[in-house]
Amino acid sequence: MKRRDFLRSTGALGATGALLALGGCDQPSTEPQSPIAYEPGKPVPWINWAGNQSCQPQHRPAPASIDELVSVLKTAKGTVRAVGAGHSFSAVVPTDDTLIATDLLSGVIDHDPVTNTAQVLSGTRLHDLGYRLADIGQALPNMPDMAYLALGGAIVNCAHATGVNFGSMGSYVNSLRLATVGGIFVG
Amino acid sequence: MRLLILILLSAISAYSHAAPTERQLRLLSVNCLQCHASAHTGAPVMGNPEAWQPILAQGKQQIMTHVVEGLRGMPPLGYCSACSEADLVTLSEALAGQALPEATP
Repeated sequence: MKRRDFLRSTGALGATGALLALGGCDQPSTEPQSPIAYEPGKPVPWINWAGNQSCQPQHRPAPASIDELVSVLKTAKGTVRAVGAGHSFSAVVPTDDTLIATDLLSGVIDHDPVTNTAQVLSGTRLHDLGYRLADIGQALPNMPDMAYLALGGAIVNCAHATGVNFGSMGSYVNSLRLATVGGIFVG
Repeated sequence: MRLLILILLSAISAYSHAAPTERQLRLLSVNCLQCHASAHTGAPVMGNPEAWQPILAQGKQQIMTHVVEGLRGMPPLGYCSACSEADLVTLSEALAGQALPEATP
């Protein structure tokens, strides 16, 4: 079963309250997950984890520093979106104009040992964040049950863990510094 | 991160394929190694040539189809939104420890 079919099935399950047997989940599939076929020699499409979101951006910059990000945003064309790991199934990423990959915007910029806060780049993957925070004597109060996510994606998609006393990832944010189209900072 | 990249560079330099750039090694570290450096994920582990033989036997085009489109536990693009086709080939070769064969042997 493809991931997007599984999502569709579980969505139907939630809507109807019916008990459905999701046959095939335990059978290894040889069918690719993607809605877009790979064509050698052509620009690779962007496809999310579930395979239910995809696009073919004309511009796909991957800045490796804040200065590079600002430079990209000053000249970005059309509809501009940013992407982290691409694990979310929500439609927050696809654009056929400019898709800014944050893979290389990773790491802790600054931290305060008194308030136990840290300034972290949005592309930092959660699987990496724990080690980075441990280096400065900090840790997340809680985190989702998988660590594939980028911090920025986890925040905008309200990724969460379990426990009634814990909020979503966004609840751990004290302040945000957002770089907008034109290279202007907000916050 | 820089230490990890240096270790990876020295490990990869022993193989016959083109060495990844420092940028590509960062992409490898951020994306690929979260699964391909852990035995419990079920993904073939970097540095274990035997695990990669069944995959390499599929040939470059089939491997790249699975890398870009995803297959079972392998997410599309290996979660690397910054990767071009050339990046994905280089990173796949770094993980497999050898160049991707053009045709199925």
